Amino acid sequence: MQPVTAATAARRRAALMRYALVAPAIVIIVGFMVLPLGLMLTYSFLEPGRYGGVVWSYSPEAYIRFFFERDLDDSLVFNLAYVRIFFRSFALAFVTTLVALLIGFPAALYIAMQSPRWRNFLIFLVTVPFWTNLLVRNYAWILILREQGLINEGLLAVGVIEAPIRMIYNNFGITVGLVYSFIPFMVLPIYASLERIDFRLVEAAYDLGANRWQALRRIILPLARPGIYAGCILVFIPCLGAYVTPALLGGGRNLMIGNLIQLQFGASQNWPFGAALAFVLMAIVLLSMLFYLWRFRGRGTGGLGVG
Amino acid sequence: MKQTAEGTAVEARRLTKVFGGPGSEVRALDDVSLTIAKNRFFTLLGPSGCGKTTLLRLIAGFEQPTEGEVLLDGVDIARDPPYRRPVNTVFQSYALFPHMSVAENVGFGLEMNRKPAREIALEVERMLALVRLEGMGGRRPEQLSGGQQQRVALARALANHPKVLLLDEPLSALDLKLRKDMQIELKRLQHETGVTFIFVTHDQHEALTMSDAIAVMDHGKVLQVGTPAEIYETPVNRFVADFIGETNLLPASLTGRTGDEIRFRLDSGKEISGREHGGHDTGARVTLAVRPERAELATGPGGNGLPGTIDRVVYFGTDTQFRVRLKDCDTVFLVRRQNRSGHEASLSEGQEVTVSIPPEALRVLQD
Ligand SMILES: Nc1ncnc2c1ncn2[C@@H]1O[C@H](COP(=O)(O)OP(=O)(O)O)[C@@H](O)[C@H]1O
Ligand SMILES: [Mg+2]
Repeated sequence: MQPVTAATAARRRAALMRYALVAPAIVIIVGFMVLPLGLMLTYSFLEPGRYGGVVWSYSPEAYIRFFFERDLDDSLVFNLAYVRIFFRSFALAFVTTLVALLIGFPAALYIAMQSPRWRNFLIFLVTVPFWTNLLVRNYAWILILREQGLINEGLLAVGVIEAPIRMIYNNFGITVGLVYSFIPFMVLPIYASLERIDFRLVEAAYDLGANRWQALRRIILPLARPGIYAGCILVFIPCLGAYVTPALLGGGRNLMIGNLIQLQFGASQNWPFGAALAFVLMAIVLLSMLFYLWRFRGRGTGGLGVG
Repeated sequence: MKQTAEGTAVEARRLTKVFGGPGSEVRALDDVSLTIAKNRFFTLLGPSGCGKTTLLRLIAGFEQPTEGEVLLDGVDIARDPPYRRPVNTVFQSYALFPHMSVAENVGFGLEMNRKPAREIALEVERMLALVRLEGMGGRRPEQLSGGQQQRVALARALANHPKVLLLDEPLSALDLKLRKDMQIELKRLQHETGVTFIFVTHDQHEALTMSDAIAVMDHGKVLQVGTPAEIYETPVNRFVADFIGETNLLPASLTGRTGDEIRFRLDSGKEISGREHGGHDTGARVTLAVRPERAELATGPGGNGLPGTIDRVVYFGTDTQFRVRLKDCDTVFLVRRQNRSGHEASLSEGQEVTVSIPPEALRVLQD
């Protein structure tokens, strides 16, 4: 019958249309994620070429190397050097995230409580560091922190210290650099969630007898939680893979995962190992994200509590 | 359990609140003095922007007065922060905490006052029962209807057993039916708890039906304080008369008095007489006010009457409104007549009538 066929045709056209509309997204996901990651996964199971690149034969060597060292007689010896670098990276990323949160949250709160025009200006200021190159900004920190740097010279001149304090080429320097580099990623999402809070709720809390601290803890913090989580993730993950800051402010002695990976594709000429390191890192991050999603599932503001 | 405690709950002394800096000053409250007795349903009534919310916020402590004092139980509290005042607020937007259950919302104030958990649980139950939300404690605010959220806000504010409850246009977000129910509900709550309610509205009907006392405000000033009947029957000025209910305003001059009869001449040249002079002398320009339901319509010439033509008849169910265009002046005079028997002598549009005004119904207003 005529109307039925017409309807079917229309439905087919609609379905086709839907595919056509999601096609760009699929192309991007496949082109920018699946292909490179697949390539990396493949490389991590191959043998390294003599001058970089890979030799196309299967080998789990890259993953073994992560935990073991091969002795001269080819026996495997437990080697924690790489694991230790992973640990240091996680520890530095963790401390950086914590410091960024402790500075970023009050900053975001302060900005959110200003008048709208002033607010926009302050948020604009937060993004200003992005205008200059990351390398330049890290060199600037070297100038500030080094032994003849701004801080040491200043403290010496005032007489607070007698000898310069070592503030770079150690974990302290790296942390300062990382916090500085990533703090906008903490401030912006927290600000976004604070800005959406109805501040009449805070007034209501005061009205019911909450002091400032209680209002912050019981009203503002819970409502800003999505922003805080987002900020922590946005700082922690790129911190793990940071390359420039540990290279410059760590002075090459305090490696982080990013430097280790870079080394494999550079001086060490061991692409499979580099790919394997990157993959292990990604697996850890993904698993912890999944754990987080599972653990805090339904805790968002829209979740329906079970009455 | 209505307490019979007498005395003053809240007193405002020469309160002034100015917002903004020099040049862009807004005088939200202008030298307001007000005494609110304990255990009353007190209403602040006035048009939008007249300073009602500002006055509440000064009592709650969200704003600091530019000048003047706020006394609670005779003690100046103007410098106390909100969390140290035994005053609680029901916000117009309810301001329920979205991340807490209904029970947690209601118990929040008690928790802040460090009451033991068991006591809080009992009190929350009691409060939810008081506002008829038994068994709803586990829900989230977003799962409740507007009327239910309103009740949660009430329970939350009452749980702290405040001396004064401030309500800022709490019913304006509700639809008409719910609004009527909540009006009765609020009266019941005030009666049962014995807490002084300070209720803000711009709806004169609401104010008249609910209040023990009303303060009429305009432009940051309190114009008149009194019982609903006083405000309605003897408005002090033109604004109050016009704002509360319908009223007919007639510009006139006082022409003389004989005994207790005061005579006025309207601008149309017609003479009418009344019983009060409002403190004016012969020759003074005055504004006369007559409530529509106090005037009568006669088909022949009536006593103390103004002739005119019926312009429009509007049927209201309980009564009928007649718009009468007065002769010799371009004034429309409203008359309301009760529909008692359902077949009153029918008056139709275009008919010539006389608006007859009993002398006692004539009010003389200050401007
Ligand atoms: N925070 C403020 N800053 C500047 N002006 C304000 C502020 N709050 C209120 N006003 C002004 O004060 C006047 C009274 O406001 P408000 O008390 O909210 O009136 P109402 O509640 O009677 O509608 C208005 O003109 C309003 O614009
Ligand atoms: Mg208001």
